[in-house]
Amino acid sequence: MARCQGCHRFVKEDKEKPAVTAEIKALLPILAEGSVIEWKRVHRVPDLVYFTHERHVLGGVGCQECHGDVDQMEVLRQVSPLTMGWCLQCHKAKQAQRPAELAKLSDCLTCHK
Amino acid sequence: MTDPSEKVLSRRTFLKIAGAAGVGVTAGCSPQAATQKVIPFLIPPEDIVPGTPLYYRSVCRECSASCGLTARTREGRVVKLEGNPEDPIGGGALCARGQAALQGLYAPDRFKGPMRLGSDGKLTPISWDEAEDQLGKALAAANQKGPGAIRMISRPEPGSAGSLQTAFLRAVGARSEDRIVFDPLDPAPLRAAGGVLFGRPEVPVYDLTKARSIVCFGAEIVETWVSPVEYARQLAAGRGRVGEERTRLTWVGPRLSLTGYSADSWMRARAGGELAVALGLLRWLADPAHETTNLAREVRLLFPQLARLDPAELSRRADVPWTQIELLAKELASRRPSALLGPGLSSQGEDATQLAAVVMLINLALGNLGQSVWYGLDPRKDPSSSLAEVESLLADMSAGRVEVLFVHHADPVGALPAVAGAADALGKVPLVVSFGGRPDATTSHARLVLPDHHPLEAWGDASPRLGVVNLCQPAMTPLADTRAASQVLLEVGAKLPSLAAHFPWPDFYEYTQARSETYAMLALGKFPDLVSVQRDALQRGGYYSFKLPAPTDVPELLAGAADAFLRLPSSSLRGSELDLVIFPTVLRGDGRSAELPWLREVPDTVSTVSWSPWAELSPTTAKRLGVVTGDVVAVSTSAGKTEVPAYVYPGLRNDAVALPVGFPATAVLPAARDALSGAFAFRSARAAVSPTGRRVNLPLLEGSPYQHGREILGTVSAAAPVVHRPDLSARMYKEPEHPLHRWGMVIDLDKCTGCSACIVACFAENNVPVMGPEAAVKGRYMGWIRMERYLGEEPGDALDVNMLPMLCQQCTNAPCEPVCPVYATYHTAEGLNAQVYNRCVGTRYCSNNCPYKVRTFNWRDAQFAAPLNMQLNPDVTVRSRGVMEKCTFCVQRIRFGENQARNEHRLVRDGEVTPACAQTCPAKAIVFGDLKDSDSSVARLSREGRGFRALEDLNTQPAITYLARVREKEEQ
Repeated sequence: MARCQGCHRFVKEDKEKPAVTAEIKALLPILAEGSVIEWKRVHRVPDLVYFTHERHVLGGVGCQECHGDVDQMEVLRQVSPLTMGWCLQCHKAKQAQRPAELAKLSDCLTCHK
Repeated sequence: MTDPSEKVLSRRTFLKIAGAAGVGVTAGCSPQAATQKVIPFLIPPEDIVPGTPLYYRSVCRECSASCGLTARTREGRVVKLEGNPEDPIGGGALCARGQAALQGLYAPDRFKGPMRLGSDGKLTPISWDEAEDQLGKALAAANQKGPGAIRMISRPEPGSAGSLQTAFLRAVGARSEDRIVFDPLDPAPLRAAGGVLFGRPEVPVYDLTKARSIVCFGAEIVETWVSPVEYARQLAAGRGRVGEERTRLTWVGPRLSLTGYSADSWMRARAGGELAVALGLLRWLADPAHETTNLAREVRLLFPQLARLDPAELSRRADVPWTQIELLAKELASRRPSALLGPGLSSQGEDATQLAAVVMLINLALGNLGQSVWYGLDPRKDPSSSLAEVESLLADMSAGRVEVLFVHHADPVGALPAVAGAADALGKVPLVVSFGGRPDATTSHARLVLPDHHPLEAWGDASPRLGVVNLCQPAMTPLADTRAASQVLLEVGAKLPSLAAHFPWPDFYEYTQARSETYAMLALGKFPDLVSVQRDALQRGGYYSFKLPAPTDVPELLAGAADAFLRLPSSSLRGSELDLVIFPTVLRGDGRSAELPWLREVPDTVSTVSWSPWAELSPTTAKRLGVVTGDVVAVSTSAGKTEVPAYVYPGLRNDAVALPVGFPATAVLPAARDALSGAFAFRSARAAVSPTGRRVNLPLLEGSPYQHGREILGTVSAAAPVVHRPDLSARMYKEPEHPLHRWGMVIDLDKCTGCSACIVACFAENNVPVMGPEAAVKGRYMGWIRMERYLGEEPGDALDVNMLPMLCQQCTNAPCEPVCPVYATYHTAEGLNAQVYNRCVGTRYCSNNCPYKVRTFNWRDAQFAAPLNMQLNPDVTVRSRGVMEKCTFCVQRIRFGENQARNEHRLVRDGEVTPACAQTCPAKAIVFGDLKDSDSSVARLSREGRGFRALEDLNTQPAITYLARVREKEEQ
């Protein structure tokens, strides 16, 4: 919160979406009050999985591929099963493009070290 | 005939059907059942990025060597300690005790805050204000009683803490002798010898890289003596090669210690006979008939006195044939420069200063001073007190002359012999104030406990030699309501009205900064201001301007100083008793009582015993007494008696019994001392040993200490420098492909000292659980790396000791892989043998098939009692019961390195990824890297002639190459 509000201390009125503006404005006093924001976690992989966003984002995987059309969602919901089989499907497909370099993608140790 | 594969049920299908029966029961659970809440920071902590480690440089306070360290922290918690590559003492390495220091930080039994002993005999918590008030009042009252009422016993504090303590005590009216510095491992005889011979009462600095021959008179240089990490590195620098240029090490003593395992020859001198050997060497070298070249003139002039010594008598005293002494003398005469070191703890007897002096005279004679032995570099900060001074304090305490005693990280009850009566003496002091962080034998007598920060939570500094000031800084906020001992002194001082003027600094941090200005000034040229210098020093770990001086400042022998040392003292009659040899170990240190789990779980390399003390007896003695390993024997001396399980050890003379330092040796040691230095004489007693008829299950890791023709490892020599390798050209299995990297390791057995630093580092890095003594008895040691120690081929053979650090060999044709029913282990594309914990069902077939037995099974759920769970490495899975585990070549570090490389669009460079074991090895014996990169160190080293693989003829094709130990045949 402190990081974002370092710059974004003022909320611009969006006349077409008053509900959204109200939501964002409600966040502002939280830093001053010191109250807690409890986000409900939507996407979660089990503790036995080592998942890094870094490699996916830098690897050119778009957010929508796993998280769906977030910009169309009023409230975020999970659209992908996030099961191991589902992850491996994409991993195997990418690996097929450069098998030698991306051999790690179907290696158990990559995600389960 | 039908195709058999049609009829056969595939393994997969069978398990699917068998498993289906069980699935129905659990079908109700959905993986997304419980909603998790994610609560972000409102104001995130500075510098901390979750998932990225943050490193702090500090200094290790586990012994007086004061090696620099780097603390790796994750999310504000220290999870691993490494060495500091910029520190000239540690050189980037950390020994076993340094690695284990981390457990001291998270010890569940740490004092949570100040406590006072109540009338019910229990410690009850109080507030800091109350505690400091009480202390202030007691000090004011004690002041009235005159000098000597307020005393302090402290560990060596060669830095800000020490100078503050001295200033504080002076301010409360104490005399300088009222502060006792207690260090059981202090090499006081060296200091005394230097003082008498050269007028330089200091501990010399050794540079073993210059020595072609090293002789240790019981000096445990790679274990606990003075600066073991440094000496291990220096010794290893001269090893790892065949031929004349390889550094030779000779061990002189009654017991072959771990340092002796690195020796090329063992001179089996009787306990106390080391002095006779030293005098014999000096006599031979100084004898003009032997025409030793370049002998120091001052020593030549001593020959008339030395000539009075009879070689036959010297040989008889040491129980070493004169020819052996002559051979060693000839070696020293020709191989220059050399280094002779001694005494060590195990050879520190009532003649310790004389031994130190004669050894130093040999160094002088051979011109080693100014080459491998340096005077003038001892900062002489906070030298340790002699045993005489400690005993004087204890006597004053018993007589009721001490009102307030400060105990600062010293454990006299645990480390001194019981006959010294430290426990009783403490009981007579009205107020014992302990700054200790954890309960030990001494703090149990404390009336007021004011727990100090752990060094990883505190500011400070330590200067082990001129030109090196290692800085201590907090790597995390204090876990409990502790306060720096120096801070307490400042605050109490400020409250006493008459003393407030003495301490203008508001807190200890300001004090350390003010003191460091003197060092900072020296580096001012490169930086704009003092603050920048200080900040840079903190980042690097200290102020390092250490350089060996030019070899011109060599001390001169004072006239007549050597005379008293050139006589052989009279020997006492020997009865049927055995010489009692007390030895330190890398894991036990100086014998202090509050040990750490890792240091107890890891077996001692020499005896492979863990969790229990032991008494070593030679096979002949054991047979004579009718005792085998595990039988409890009674060891009694004039000072006391104790019962200890026996361990039959061929590396001990037949006329000796050996006990490790600390308890229970403290029960039987008399309070003897070396008169000249006042140092405690660890080797002074004779013991009677008898069987008690009882047996215990001694936790022993070794199966058998002999190779029994298994050809596990051999040695090379100049005559035969290449290891014979079996012919494995016939290929049975398909070669796996390694498109990018192929990780491999080389372990140089000629450099490995067996110090177990790698083992403790592995425990720390990989969340390896400590299973305790009952599991150890069953052989259920969970360590991923163990030190195999072989004493020879068959029992009764001449001793031929070899060590082999054994860890998962990451075999290419791994026997463990095809037998796993669930494919939890397989060969990765980077050459590792992967173990997937969440897939493992616990059949244990893989461990059954492993010829190296490096796979360990979790028979129980590991317990990490809070706050030990804060030490866990978040990058490594914590395994639960029923899962097999083994070395992964620190795959989390490999992944980290590859991640960095990927971000920078390059491949991993050689030396970028280092597993925990390789990183901490003081001897730099373990090298890791990419075998596919032919320029990498590991690829080059694995091609050496000395290379071999463990159990190579089994065709497992391990990724680890061992470089054989060089052993020349001894000339008899």
